[in-house]
Amino acid sequence: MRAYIVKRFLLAVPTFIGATMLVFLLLRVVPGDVALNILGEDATTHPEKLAEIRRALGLKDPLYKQYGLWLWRVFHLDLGKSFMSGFPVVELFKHRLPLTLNLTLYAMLITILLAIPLGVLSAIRQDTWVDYVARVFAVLGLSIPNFWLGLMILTVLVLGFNWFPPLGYQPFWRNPVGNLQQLLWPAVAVGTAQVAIIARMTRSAMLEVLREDYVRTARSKGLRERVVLLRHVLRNASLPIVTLLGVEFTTLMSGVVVTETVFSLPGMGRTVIDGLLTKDYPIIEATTLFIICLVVLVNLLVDLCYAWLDPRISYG
Amino acid sequence: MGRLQRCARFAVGGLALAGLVLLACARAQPTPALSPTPLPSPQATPLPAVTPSPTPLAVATPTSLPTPTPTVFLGGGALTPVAVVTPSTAALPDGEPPPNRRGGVLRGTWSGTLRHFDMHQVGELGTWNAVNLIYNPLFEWSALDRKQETIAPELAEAWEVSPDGTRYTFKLRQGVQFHDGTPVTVDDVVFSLNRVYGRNLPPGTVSARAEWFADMVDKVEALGPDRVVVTLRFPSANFMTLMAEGWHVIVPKHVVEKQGDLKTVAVGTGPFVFKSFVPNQSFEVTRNPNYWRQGLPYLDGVVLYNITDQTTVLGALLTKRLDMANPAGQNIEPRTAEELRRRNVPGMVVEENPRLGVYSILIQTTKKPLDDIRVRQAINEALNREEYQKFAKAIKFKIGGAVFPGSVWDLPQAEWEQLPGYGPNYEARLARAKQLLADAGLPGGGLTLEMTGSAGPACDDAQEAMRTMLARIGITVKPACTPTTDARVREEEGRFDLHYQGYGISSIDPAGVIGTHMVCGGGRNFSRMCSPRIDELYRQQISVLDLQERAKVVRELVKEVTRFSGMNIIGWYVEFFAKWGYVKNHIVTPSRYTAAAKLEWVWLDK
Repeated sequence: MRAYIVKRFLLAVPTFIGATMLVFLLLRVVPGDVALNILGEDATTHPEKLAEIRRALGLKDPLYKQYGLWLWRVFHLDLGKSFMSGFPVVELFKHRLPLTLNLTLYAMLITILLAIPLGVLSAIRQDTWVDYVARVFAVLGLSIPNFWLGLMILTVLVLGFNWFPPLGYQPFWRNPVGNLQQLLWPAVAVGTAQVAIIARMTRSAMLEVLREDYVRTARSKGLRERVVLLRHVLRNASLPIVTLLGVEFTTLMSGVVVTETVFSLPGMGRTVIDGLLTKDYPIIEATTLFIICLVVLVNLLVDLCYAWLDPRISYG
Repeated sequence: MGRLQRCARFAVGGLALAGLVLLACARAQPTPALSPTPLPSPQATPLPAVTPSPTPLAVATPTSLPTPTPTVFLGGGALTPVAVVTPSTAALPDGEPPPNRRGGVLRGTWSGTLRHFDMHQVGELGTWNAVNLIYNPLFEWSALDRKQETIAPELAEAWEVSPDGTRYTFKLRQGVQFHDGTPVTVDDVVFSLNRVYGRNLPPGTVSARAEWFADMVDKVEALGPDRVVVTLRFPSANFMTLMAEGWHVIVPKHVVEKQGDLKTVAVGTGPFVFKSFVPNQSFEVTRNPNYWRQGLPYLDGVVLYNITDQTTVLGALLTKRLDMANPAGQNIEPRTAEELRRRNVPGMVVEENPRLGVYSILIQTTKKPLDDIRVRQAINEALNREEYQKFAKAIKFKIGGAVFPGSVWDLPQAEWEQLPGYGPNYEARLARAKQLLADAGLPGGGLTLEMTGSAGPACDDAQEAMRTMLARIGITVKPACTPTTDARVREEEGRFDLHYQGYGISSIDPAGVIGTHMVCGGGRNFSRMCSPRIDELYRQQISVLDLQERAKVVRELVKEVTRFSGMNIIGWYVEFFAKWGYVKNHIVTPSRYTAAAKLEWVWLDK
């Protein structure tokens, strides 16, 4: 197992180099000028002024040198400073990451608590009204854009209850009630689509497994239906569900830009968009790095889960 | 039994979910009560009076100047189109707060990107909104004058101007401290002004507005422990008006020298002290207990949230999570204002204010056939400004030209009507436009022009308006709104045929629009306008020190730039402000960059 984990991490190195290099180059190809962005929209410009800014940021160096320097810093755990604000990138992440993680966990919790029971119910009551309701919900959940749902939630809260989530992020460990008030609704907005996806996946995986011979055997042995469903069906059906949950987790952690904007939450999504719009290279590069690490880690965890869920899979 | 268990589980699950929902809907923890902080009563006139000089000054030219001679302190009024006044509480629209209404924290929003805290190195509303609360310049456009015709002393308590108009001596206010407790010295002022003028900057530091003063300022020197002298190369009518923009703040030399710059630290002398900044979330300041203007600020603090979505702003306002939207500018969009007015929310105030900022259509004057003035004038004639407002849903403007409507520089309506694009008979203008195109060898138009701009509803509306209007003279508009970062590069490189631009002007002086956008080498001359006549008139008006005489030259200049039709101004910003009625003394001046944005007089009647 340990060898497998080490191997997976080693395999991640070329992925890391390739992806960061690609992002590094793409950022420099897309239109825009960092120096102009730094000066601000209303500033007067002068070629010498712009050149000085570019020089100070090291943007006049050859690309290989810029990339090498960035890589060297990363290996020394230095993600650099934001071109715009001058704040260390790590400091900026300290503010954003907890919020995004918090929102993601709530959304995942909602997803797991609702989607899996819904999918299971839908499968075992196939073609009954329960199944139809669940399927309609799944289609709706997939069709409704989360920003629209977010706006609708806010509108109902404001107009119906004269209530609005508190402004400014309140960490759970400092103010659990405030935290829940602030993040539950965005989590619902974000989680609805995830619920729909996972519910559909659970239903189809369950239906497939329900038709397997070993399920019939289990029932014929006289096992209680609950045991058959939980131990023999759901467990075997959960491999694709876990894979999908892993993917959804990474997507959510990379930022849910529009929902963050609607609910005025300063998470990773807004960081990435702001970074892209202002061409704040260190921010984008650090975010890329973070996402790569996250994807590698989550995929590894998902793979390790396979072995736990299915004894036939072994990484020994 | 099994069914009972299932029922019980469902019930527990349902209750838990209901509990979560109720918890999330419950009232937030009450905002800490706005404790009436017992502040000492502000002195009615905490500053020594500064009297504007009554001496009328004649036209002065750099070549006919007498040798500078020592003069008495007069105040700066003589050389500016403004009066110099000491802010007085008598001028407060809502008066002073009663003792039990002092204190409290104002909750507002900030717009755009707060790039960093270094005011000298940036020109952007997001930074201004927040960071200006912390600093003071030497003097500034008064916070209490909605017309922006008066300058108020800040860290300079008085000043004198030499008879030849080239030497400005500022007497510094004594006993002022930075927020870290160190006193403000003459060295800090000399250092700050040099930083503003782009002098002696360390590598990597730039001045966002150095171009304003590059030719004008010769040197900055200390004169004893309490005076600073700025020597100009020539007498300039707009030195004071440009310096009165709030960006030119006094910063602590020792902090800059230690930190390298002020991007991540904010230590000023202003009414509020920096408390916290969470990027994209909030910027918080608290009351400066040692503020040099005694008894001020009235508030205990200000917290600004970065909310970019208008629906969110509206929701937060209606539920009183916010006391007002952005106090300094871009507060709410016209459609949000309309929505608020339609709802007629008791206690909610929605104001409409003309602001310094222009919406314009730039024409690239160096590209063929746009280098032909007749083609540009034809486009200008076809631009129906009244009709444009119907297309533009995201903005509101007051029709005008190169100077702020209604200002001393503005032309009488009859004179505007003689200029391309402003005639009262649109049909006649269209006929003239067609004739101009025919004269330029383009009968029936037959041109296709690419129109760029920063992507967004305003740009989309501009494209639609121009497409419709220019089609009437046979010109096809190819839309190309691109993300701001790309649009800025296109502007800078002049890579466009037509370009839509909304630009917040930093100065009410003609330098704000004409000097920056319309003279050869101007800092934002994206149209590449370059006309010897315009440049000559521009130089001339700067050297005319008498206000009325200067205004005459400026009006000629306005006519000339309008005829040139490179930067075609559609109109000037009209901004909407939404706030609860209990927010008192919030004043909106034409420029965003005045002392009004410092909020030191604001108090909450709740």
